[in-house]
Amino acid sequence: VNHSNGSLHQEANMSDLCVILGNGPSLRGFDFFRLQGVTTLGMNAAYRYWDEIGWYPTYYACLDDQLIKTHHEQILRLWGQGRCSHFFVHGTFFDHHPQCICAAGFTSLDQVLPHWYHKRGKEQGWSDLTTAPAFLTKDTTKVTTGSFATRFASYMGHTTLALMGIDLRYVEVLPEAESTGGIGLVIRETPRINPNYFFDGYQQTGDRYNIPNPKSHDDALHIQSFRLIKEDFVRNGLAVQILNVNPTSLLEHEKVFPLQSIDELLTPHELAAVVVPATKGDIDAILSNFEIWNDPRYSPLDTGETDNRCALVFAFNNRDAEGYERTIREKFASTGTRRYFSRIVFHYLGLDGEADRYERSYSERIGEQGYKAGPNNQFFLTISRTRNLGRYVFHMETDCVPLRRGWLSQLRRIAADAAGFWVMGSTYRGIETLSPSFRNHLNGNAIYAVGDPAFQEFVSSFWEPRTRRMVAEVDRRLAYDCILEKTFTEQRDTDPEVRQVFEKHRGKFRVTEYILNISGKRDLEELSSNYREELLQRFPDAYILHNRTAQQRTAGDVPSFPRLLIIDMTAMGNSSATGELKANLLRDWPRDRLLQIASPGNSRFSLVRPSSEGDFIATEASEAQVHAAVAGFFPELILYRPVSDLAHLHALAIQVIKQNDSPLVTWIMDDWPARLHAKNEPIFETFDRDLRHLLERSVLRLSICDRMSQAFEKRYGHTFTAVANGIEPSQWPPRREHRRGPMLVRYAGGLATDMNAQSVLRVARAVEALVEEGSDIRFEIATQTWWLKQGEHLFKGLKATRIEASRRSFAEYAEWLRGADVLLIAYNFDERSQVYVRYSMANKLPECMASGAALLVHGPIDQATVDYASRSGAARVVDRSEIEALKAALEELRDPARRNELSERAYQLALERHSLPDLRHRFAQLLTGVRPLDPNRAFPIYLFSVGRGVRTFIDPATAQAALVDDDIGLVTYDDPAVVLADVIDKGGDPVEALAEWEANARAALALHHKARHQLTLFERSLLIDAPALCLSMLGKILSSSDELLDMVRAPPSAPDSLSFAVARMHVQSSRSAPRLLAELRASGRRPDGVSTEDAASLEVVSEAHQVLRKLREVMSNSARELAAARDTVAQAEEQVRVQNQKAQELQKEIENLRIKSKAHQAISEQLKADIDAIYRSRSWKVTRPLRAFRRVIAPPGTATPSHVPRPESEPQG
Amino acid sequence: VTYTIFGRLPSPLGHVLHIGAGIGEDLAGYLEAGAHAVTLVEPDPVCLPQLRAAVASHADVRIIEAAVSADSLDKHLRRFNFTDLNSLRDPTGLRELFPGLEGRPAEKVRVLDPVALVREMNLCAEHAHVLVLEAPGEGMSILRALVEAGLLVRFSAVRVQEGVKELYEGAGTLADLRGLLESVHFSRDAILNEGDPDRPILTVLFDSVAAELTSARKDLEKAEAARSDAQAQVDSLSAVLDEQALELGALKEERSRLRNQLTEAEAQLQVQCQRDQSFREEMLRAEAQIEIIKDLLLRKVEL
Repeated sequence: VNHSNGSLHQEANMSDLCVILGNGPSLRGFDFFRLQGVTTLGMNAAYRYWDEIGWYPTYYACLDDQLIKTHHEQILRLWGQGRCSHFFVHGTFFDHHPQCICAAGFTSLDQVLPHWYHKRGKEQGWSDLTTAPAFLTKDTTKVTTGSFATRFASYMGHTTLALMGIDLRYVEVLPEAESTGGIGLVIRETPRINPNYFFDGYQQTGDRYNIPNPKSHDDALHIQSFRLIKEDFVRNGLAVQILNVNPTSLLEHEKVFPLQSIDELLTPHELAAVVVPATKGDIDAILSNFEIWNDPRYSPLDTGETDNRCALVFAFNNRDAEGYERTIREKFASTGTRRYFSRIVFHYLGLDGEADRYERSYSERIGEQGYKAGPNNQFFLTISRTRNLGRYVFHMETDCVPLRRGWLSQLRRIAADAAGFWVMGSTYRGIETLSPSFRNHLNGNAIYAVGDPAFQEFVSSFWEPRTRRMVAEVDRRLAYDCILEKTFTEQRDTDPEVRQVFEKHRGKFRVTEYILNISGKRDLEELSSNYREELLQRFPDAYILHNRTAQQRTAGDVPSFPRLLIIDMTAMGNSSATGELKANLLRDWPRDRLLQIASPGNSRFSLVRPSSEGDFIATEASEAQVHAAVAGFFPELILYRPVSDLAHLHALAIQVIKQNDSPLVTWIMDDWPARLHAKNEPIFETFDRDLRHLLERSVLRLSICDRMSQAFEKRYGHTFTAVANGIEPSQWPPRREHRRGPMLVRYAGGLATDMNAQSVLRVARAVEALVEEGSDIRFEIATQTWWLKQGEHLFKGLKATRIEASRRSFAEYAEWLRGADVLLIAYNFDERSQVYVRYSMANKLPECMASGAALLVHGPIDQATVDYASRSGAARVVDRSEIEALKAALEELRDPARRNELSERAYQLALERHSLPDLRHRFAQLLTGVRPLDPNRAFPIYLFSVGRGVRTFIDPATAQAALVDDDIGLVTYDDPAVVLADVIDKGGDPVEALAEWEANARAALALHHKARHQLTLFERSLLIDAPALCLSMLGKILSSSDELLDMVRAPPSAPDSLSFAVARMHVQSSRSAPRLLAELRASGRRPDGVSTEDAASLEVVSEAHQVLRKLREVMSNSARELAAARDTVAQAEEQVRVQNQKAQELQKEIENLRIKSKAHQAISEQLKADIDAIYRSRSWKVTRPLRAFRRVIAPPGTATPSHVPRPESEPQG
Repeated sequence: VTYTIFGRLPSPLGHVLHIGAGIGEDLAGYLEAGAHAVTLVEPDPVCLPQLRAAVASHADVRIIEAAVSADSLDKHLRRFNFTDLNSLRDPTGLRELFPGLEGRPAEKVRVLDPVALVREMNLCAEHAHVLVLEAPGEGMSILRALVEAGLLVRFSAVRVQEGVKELYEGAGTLADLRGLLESVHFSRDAILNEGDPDRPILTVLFDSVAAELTSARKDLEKAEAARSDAQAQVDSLSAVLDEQALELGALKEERSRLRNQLTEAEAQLQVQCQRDQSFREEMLRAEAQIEIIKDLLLRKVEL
């Protein structure tokens, strides 16, 4: 209906897009004609508006039985007039118009809801769509026109669905409506202003409709129905991207779908696709490239953007690779690469034989298409096949590797900014010398203007034919990318066509540093170890390197992301600060390697998984389902944020952690233990015990800021690493300068009496005082409803202060912050508040810093955020609880120059220290760097001090952090040969075990160096041979602690002598282990008379050598005998086989002979019979005298042939 | 630590001399850093087989199987169960740090003079050379000898490990070594690796700027002294000159006075002469008159 006006490439770009048009007030004033060329779906009574403006959508939906009652005739009219191509309507429509049942262009809701299909649809003859992935749902009660229209668009094959005008903020019952019973309503008078719709005449007198969000669905049917789509689509494996284009929609507030502006959506993107030319041999490289792209260091996008309508296209030479399509698709989905591309497309170019040949040896005979026939043909076919994708595509062979993150974002910028070129690529940048005739050629890995008809014409009429001619007539080694330059260089002066083309189009070929072609043979062989840094220094604008060696090295270097199980009450990506923090930091984590157990509260659990759109979906689950999900997930790393709020989640967490051997990371984001201690000591003790146990068990401990890390290190004796929230730089452009005029101070956040309420109130009073003194200042507070209820009374009577409960979307919130002159962050000064917030870092701090407003921070200086702000110099800090101090600060901030100074510093700091891409990378590094510690192979460290008892550590860094002055300690180690012998006995890898021992030895020595006077190094293996002596010696050294002595009383088990000997040899062959052992022994203690390198050990080695030698001889002899025996058997078998064969042949011969014999016998008998017949015949008898006569006259010696039998009756003559 | 300093050398890495190379664990790092040549010196027969194996495939790497000392007369290497601590000197403070230290039979070894060793290496001026000293107890003697021979400046960086307290007889402490190095301008980018805080490793670069500055200062001092001498001479001469000038003045005055006197005298003389002349003329005239008169008288007489 509306496709006629779209340009070719726009249509191609938009073909998978469907804009779902709700009827919400956000559509007021929207120019629907902007949607021409785009598939659209409209619904319900909006046709009244369409009729007015003469525009109609592609699809129409009405799934409300009440609306059908009102509008069925008009729907029939629309169908009859062909206004829309397809109608998706409630089953009752067909009660009114049975002639439309199963008619072309209709789909019934009865087809998709199992209950109604079986009750009505099936009988009417409709096809069954109840199991179609778009409609299959776990909850068939959440049916709304909007959500099922969205499902319908997916069912129609659209993979990008944009929701527009779906506001979901209803005035449930209009004053002009009255109930018709149940949830039905009728409009008794056409509303003058209808707040629910985008035009006031949407509902008219007599119209029937249902209450939008009935009580039976907790007043939230619509939002629930959309959330359900998201879950269902993930569950049903639908790769559909759903975007919300309305920033004021409840969908955005609840962050159900990613937000995308309609302008952005309707603007054709210049970069249409990344095209990967490939053959079957490239499959491994393709799969490894997905892994590389999912390493945050090489992430395609440099911001948190999730929308990308750039396709990923594979152009395979032929269908040999088709069998791998599924593998590629699965990897594309499982690694999360899906979120960087709109879709994945496969082309098989049908090349074979000479046309597909790629011969690297030029000594081979070759046909007219040359040695590079395959790549040349593949290129030209790909250029032609991708002509409809859009304006530009980037050819990126599988040996191209990103040099840094954001390569796709940069590619999009290049395509958008540098219009007018045909090919943009890299000249050769390597160390080899190219032929002068194509020294400056642009490598094939380049950006091509495939959507430009002039370029396509150039390719088909000049580039491709010239390539064929040059290859056939001049040089069969030539490739398509070198040929252009060679042609222009060599034939420009002699060939008028070449000269004309060159002069006309030379400007269309551009060199870029975006991609570097360094792919000569020597470049591959001699690639420097730090090529990345060197190249980026030489070519600061480079993003991609074409070099197979670099690709392979990078693939080998990509850290494998462990399967990460998060246990945390707030779900990733929900609107809470901790939920957003996790979502922000884990956005790049591979989808299939991330699972969260969360809790919506009250003994409930949910499982949270990343969706294909880059956000997260929480599904409620029972405890059993959670355990089943964890078991199926096989976590390799558990990240737990313990809190005391939800005991059921904590109990489950402890259980899951116990059941899994995975390394544990704990994260504490606020000082809830201190708060709990103050509130409820008995419960605190339980949690404190658990918490200390968890921290002890953890291989990595995270806090929210450095102050918290320091305080917790003191409190718990473990090191902590600070990880806090940040900002997406792209969402925070620099702000305009501050100017003189009225000053607006804003505060966003809670008003808790034990956190910040008093300090916020003090600021309000300071503002009030200044206003009374004649200053032009206003103070605005945006808080949550519950805080408003609790704190509103505090601000009563303050005329310059306005307080509101807000539910802004993130974009609105950011704009609100940016609209302020001064932003406030406040903490109370009283001790009760400080107990809880002393070490908290305000989650909104980075946003406030990036907003461009000047920052006013009010709170005690030992509060972490206040301290940070003060040290940074990026905020005006008031750390005294006096109104006069605040007034002075506000007066100071009235100076726009001062505000500019503070805001610029804060903005720079926000970008430098709080940039989410950097934080995300660091967080991934922290988590991927975690290695499980095997207590059996670690060097246990025991610290003892009176009052603390014995504390055991397996991590030297933790032990060092926990070590206090009055501690004494034992650092124990084993002879590596003993460890390795055990590993060998258990079938383990001795190489890996030795490397682990060496790492542990270094760490133990480093710890011992730091505290020689406190720590005793002791080799536990000595206990095997001399336990009494060892314990006696240790007893003297550790006289104050029997407890400590008890820790090493049990000797390790004695190793098997052969394994030990082999292990010993293994250790001796290492370069580091003997030296480390020597230092451990020289630094350690052992009983007098027990030597560590005594003759016995040497004898053991010598014996082992002998044993091994003998064993080797025996094995060697055995192997020889076995080989001889095998040979004999083989010979015998061969003989038997030959004999059998001969026997069979003889048998066959005998058979043949028998048959022949029988045949001969038969012939013989026949002949005898014939002869007898002749003898008996009259003629023989008659001719007897004649024969007698012949015998008489016959010369002597002539006889009757002997073989002719004579009749027995006839006498011999 | 050593490798990190390679990147800060003032010119391309040339020769690495490692005294106390052990089993050659650092060799790969030297080669990776682009060393043109490496000389590994190691006396311990326990380490040598592995060291030889490590070097086998590298043509530019030389092993010298010897100890190095400038003042040790004793050629016996004291050996321990931790070979890093082997030394030509008797241990004094080792046992405190290494309670499990066990002695092994001492080994008579060849001992090289560091000065001869470095001279023989013919270190060029175009490259930056590095000296690594892991010869427990001998650091001070080696460095001092090289400083005295003016050879230490041939190196651009020195890495040395020694005890914070004196661990071997007469070995000195790391602070002593550092003091010595600083005195000859090995003071740039000093890194103290306290992996073992009791036996830290000091890595330090030759501060050519400071050395040049010192040299320039010395030149300046010399020039200043020369200038001062010259000044003194000038002053003395000036005084003489002044005296002479005064004398000259006096003489000039005298001369002037005399001249005046002379002039006066001449004038008087002239007046006198004129007077004489006029007298003479008067006399002549008188004589003439006398003559006349005489004549007259004679005549008269005659008459």
